[in-house]
Amino acid sequence: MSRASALLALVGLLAGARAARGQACCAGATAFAPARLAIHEDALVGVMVRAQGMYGSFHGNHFAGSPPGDDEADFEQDLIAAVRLWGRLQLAATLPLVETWRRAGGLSEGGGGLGDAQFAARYDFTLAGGSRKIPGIAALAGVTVPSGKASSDAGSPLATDATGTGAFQAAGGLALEQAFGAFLVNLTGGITWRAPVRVGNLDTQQGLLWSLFAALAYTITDDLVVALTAAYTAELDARVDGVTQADSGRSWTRLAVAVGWAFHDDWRLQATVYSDLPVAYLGRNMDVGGGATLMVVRTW
Amino acid sequence: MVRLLAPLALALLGCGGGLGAGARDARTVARRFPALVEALPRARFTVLEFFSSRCTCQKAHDERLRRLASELAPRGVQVIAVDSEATAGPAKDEAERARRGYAWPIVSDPRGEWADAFGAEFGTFVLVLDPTGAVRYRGGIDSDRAHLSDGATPWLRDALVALVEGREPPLGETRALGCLLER
Repeated sequence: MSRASALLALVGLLAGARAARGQACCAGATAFAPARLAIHEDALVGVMVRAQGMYGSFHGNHFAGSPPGDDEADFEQDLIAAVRLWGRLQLAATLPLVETWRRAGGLSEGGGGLGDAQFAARYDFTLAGGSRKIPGIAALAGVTVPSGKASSDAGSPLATDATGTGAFQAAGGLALEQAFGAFLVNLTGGITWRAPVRVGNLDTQQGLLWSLFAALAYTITDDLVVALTAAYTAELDARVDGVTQADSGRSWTRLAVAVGWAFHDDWRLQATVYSDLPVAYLGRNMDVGGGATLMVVRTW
Repeated sequence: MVRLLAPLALALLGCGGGLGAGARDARTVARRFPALVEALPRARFTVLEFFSSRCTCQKAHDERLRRLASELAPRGVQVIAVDSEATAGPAKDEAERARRGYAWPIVSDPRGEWADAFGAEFGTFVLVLDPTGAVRYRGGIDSDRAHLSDGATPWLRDALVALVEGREPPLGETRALGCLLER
């Protein structure tokens, strides 16, 4: 997953939504936004682990499976913390460790290190479930600090020691959320800007990235929530020395099933299985993969 | 349109009105509700509990509230529940009262007037009123949410015991940890 989409994912983690038949309004914090503080929570610390395999890529708008002999597996361990500053404003930070194993062209290697640190803020103007007429409305913002190693600085032949984008990033977004009985619907839109990066003698800048995230969560029991999520992310063409690079833009569509279990007032578990969709025109110029995450969260 | 925009504006500004920020004039507020004015003199202290039928925290605290009410009723404590959610109605609330074995009434408040007046945002939010309508305690039933623990601090019980013994509550205000009232 690119750092930009990781930033949007963190913003998304804050974007999402506990239910009697648990309160559906809080299902997001349990199922699809585990780094988000629920209404009576002041702080949290979580650890998320991710494993992902890549099985193909989009060349232009068309998907092709990975060539025989080419493989990639990505692993990530995130330390996540969030705190409520006052009232409805909360901040979150993620510090990732990233590892990559890659095999291509007869070579294979592994590498990793500290990834790009991400910081996100969320302000809830209104809360889902508090009104039948007005949904939960939240403003989201985030920044990514290039604490990882960019691929342009990678030293290994297959660049498995690359752990970040090398660019500062800033993101903004808006989340809408409403509860309908045991169901919760979330729609989140976001835009990410990436700062120019000097690579060799060239100034390069990735295009503006925008994303749309949708989630439908269902509260099964007081403590157990399941959610189906979909995210479409697209990036405009990159620029090199001020010149737009035609057809360099990228996009991808990811579906996920998430399960959240708030097994204690102060603890919750969340697991996700996801895949990028290898469907023509639902992706562009991107590697395609699937994986799983597991997160444990302690709240106060 | 105004009916839609006015609550939106208030919500965006985070203004709940009512007594949420402090008992500016609790007696005046209490006098707005004839049912309450009528009920207050019947007990030394009245627990006004904002009820949410769909709230896990509410369900988890039913037994604790039943025990507390039963224990302190002989010492002059009564409970009145108020359902200020949009789905409130006499038939539904009477069915909930019977199903949960409450020995106290649930007042139906579908327009949320009681919640607005007393600054209630969450289910299980309680106020302890004296016979004049003055608020003596506001906040949660205890420090648990949906999963009950033996180590919970019994905020409401501590307040009521202190009051019936003629002392001030150890904590006059705490946080209610229930679900958002759906208005």
